[in-house]
Amino acid sequence: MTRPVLEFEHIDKSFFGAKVLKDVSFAVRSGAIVGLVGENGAGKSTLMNILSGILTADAGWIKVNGIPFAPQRPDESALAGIALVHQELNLFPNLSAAENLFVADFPRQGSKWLSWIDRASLRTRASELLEQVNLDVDPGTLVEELSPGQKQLLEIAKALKGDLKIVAFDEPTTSLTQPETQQLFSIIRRLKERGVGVIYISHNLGDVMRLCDQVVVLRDGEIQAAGDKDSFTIPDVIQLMVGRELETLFPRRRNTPQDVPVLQVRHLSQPGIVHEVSFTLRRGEMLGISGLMGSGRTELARILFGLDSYERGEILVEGETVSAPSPRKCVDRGMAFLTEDRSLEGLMPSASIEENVALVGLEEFGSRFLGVLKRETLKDRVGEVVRELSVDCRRIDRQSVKTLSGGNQQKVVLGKWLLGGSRILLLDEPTRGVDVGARYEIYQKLVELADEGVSMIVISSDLEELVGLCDRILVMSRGEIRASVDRQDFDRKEMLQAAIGEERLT
Amino acid sequence: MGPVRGNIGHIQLFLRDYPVVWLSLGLGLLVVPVRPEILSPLNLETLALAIALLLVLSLGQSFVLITAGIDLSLPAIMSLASVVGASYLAGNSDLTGTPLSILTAIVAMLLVGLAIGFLHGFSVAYLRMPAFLVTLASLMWVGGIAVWYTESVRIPVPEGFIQVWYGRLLGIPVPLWTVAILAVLAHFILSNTVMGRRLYAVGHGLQTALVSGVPIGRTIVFAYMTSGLCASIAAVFYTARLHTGSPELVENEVLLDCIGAAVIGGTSLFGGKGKVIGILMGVVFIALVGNCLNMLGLRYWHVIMIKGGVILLAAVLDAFQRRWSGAE
Repeated sequence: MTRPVLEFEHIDKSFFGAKVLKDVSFAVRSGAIVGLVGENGAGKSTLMNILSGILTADAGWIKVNGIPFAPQRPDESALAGIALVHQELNLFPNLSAAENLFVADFPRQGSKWLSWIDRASLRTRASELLEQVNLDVDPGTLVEELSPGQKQLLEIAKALKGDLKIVAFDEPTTSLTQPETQQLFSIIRRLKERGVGVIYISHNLGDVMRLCDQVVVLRDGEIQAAGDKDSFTIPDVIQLMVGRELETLFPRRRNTPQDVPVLQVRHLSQPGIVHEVSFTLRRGEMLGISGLMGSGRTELARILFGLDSYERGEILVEGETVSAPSPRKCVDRGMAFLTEDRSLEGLMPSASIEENVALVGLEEFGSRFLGVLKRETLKDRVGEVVRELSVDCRRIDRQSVKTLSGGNQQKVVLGKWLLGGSRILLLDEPTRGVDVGARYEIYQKLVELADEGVSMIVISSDLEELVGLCDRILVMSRGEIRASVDRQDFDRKEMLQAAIGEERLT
Repeated sequence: MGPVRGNIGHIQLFLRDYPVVWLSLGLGLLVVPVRPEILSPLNLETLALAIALLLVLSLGQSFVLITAGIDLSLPAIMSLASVVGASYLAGNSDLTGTPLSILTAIVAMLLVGLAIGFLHGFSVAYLRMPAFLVTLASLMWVGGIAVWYTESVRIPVPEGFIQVWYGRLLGIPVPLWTVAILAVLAHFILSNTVMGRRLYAVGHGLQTALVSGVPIGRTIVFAYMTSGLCASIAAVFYTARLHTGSPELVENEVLLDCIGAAVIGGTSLFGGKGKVIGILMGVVFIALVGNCLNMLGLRYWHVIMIKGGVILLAAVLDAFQRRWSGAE
C-alpha cells in the first residue's frame, strides 16, 4: 500500500453558526482516485475550498505528504502541488488558450527590471500542456471560440502545470460529451500512473464506480461511509447519500391541490435547451422539478417567465394563452420568479429592505393618474410582510439588503413577490445559501401559501427538499421530462437514477 | 431600531448623509472675513441665480445618474434649443415679442430637449448602447447642428423674452420661482411616484428590475427625456440672460459642474442613489466655490482648476464610502 499524499483530519467548518463540515477525516493515497459523493449542500465544495485555501477550517488540519499544511490563499496550495478543477470555469474568454494557461506566471525574457512575455516559449509550453489533455486546438485560439467541452479540457490543462501532487475534480463532466468524458478519464488514469492523488467529485455515480478506487460518502457535512469501491453498490451509495428523517424539517400540508389548472405548458421546445415539455400545474399544487445542473430546469423556468425565447409550444395561464411572454406580462398575470442568482436578479443589494420589498407591488399603491404613491400604506404593508416572514433586521427603510444573511435576503425576495400578490411562484433553488433555521421558516411559509391556493414550481438540486415539500415531482434530464412522480410514489433512489439517466425507471 | 427621533435626530442624519453642508459652511466662514461683501444683497442674489441655473441642469442630470446612466449632451442640447427659439422669434415677432410668440418659442425649445432626450433613452434602453457613448456623440453632432444652422451667428431675442430671466414676481427674480417649483416637482416625482421608485430600481439593479416586472425601457426613456427637458429650460434662462440665441451658449465645463454637484450631493455615479435635497446642497457648494473664488479675484483658470480638484475629491470620497458601506 502506498503512503497517503493527502490527509484530512477532523475538519470542522461553520457558516453563520450552521455546521457544514463535522469532523471530516479521510486520506488520499498517492496514485489513487477517491470518489467524493453527496447531495448538493453536503459539504463537498466547502471541503475543496478549504483544500485550495479559499476558506480556512475552523478546526482540524490537512497533511500533505505527512506534513501539516494550512493554505491561507489559493496560490499557497498551488505551490504545494494541489490543483482544483472547478465546476464553474475560471477562464478569460477574451484571452487565448495559451494566455489562459499561463496567466499567473507568463514565461518572460529580458532582465529583472524590464521584462516582456516570451511568446515563443509560451507557445511551446502551452502546446505541450494541450497535448497532455488531447486538446487539439492552436494555443493562440481565443477561449470564447472553444466549445464547453474544450474549455473544460483547457481548465484541466491549467491544473496540470508544475509538480502536481493532488488534483481535485469538482463535477468535471457536466459540460462534456460522451467522447470528451472518456478522454478525461484517460487523462485521470494517466495522472494516477504518475502517482498523483486524485479526488473526483461527481453526481454521476456510474462514472464514480467505473473510475475510482475508493468512495467517500458525505451527508450534511459528515462522512457516512468510506472504503473501497468494491464494498459498495450504486443503490447503497444513494441510500447513504439521502437517508434522513424528513418530518422534522418539512411542515405538513393541510390541503391537497385543487383540480383547477393554473399553468399549462404544451409541447414547449427550444432547440438544445428543452424538448417537448408538457405539464400542468394545478391550483395550490407544489410541483417539484428535479434534475442535474444543465438538465434544462432553470432554462425552462426562464422561458416560462419570458426571459428567454422558445421556438414551439404553448403556455396557458389561468386558461388563457400567453403570447410572446415577457417578465412584465407574467408579473401582471400573477406570476413570480425567484431566481437562482439572488444578488443579480433577485435583489437590489445596496437598496433598502423597504425598496426591495416594494418593487413588484409598487403600481398597486400608485394612483391611476400619474402614479402618485400612497407612501404610508405602502410602508405599512412592507412592514407587515417583513414581520410576517420574520426577516431579522434593524431598520427596513435604511438598512441595505446586502447586510442581511442569505436566509433573510431570500425572505426579502419572497416578500417582494408576496406583496406583489403573486399566485403562481416559480422558485429556482429557493434555499440555496440559506441556513437551516431560515430554511424551515421559508418552507413553512411556502406550505402555508400552497394551502391558501397559491401554486408553485420548485426547482431544486436538493432531492430531500423536493420530496419533503412537493405534491408531485417532474424529473428532467437533457431538456426533457423523464418522469412524473406523485407524492405517494416518491422513491428517492428511483428519481435520482432518472435524473442521472443511468438506468431506466422500473 | 435606533432611538433617533425628533428634529435634532433629523438634523444629525441630514448632516451625516450630506457632509457637503460642512464644506459649504467652512468655505463661507473662510471667505466672509476676507470679503464681507459676499453677504451683500446684490451678491446673494447673484449667488442665488447661479444656484438656480446649475440646479436645473443638475436635477435633469441626476434623473439619469440615478438610473446608472449619464448625460454628456447637455451643453449641445442647450445650444440647439437656444438657436431654435431665437430664430423662431426672429422670424415671427417684432422687437418686443408678443406673448403668444414667446410662449411658442419656449415650447419649441422644450421640444428640442425632449426629442433629443427621447433618442438617447431609446438608444440606451432598447438598443442597449452605452449612455456615455450615445450622449457624448450627441454633444458633438447636436452642437454641430446648432453651429451649422446659425453659421455661428448670434441671434438677438426680443425684449419680452428676457423677462423670463430678468422679470420679478413679488420682488424675487422669476427664475428663482421657476426653479423652486421644478425642484419641488422633481422631489415629488422621485420620492412619491411609481416612476420615481422605478428610476432607483433600474439604477440599483437592471436585471432585478427586469425580472420584477419593471418596464425598464419606459423608465430609462423617461430619465433621458427629463434630462433633455431640464437642459432646454436652462437654455431658456441662458438665452434670456444673454439677450441672444447662441450656438456657443455655455462652456462644456457646465457639464462637470452639474455632474459634480450631483455627486457631491450624494448622487452615485453607480446608480440607485440621489435625492433632490442633496443635489441642492451640492449645487450650493459648487456655486459658492465659483462665487467665492470670483470674489477673491482669482482668474478663470484658477477657478476651474480648484473646482475640478474639489469634484475629483468628492468622487474619491464617494468611491471610498461605497467600499466601506458594505459593513454598515
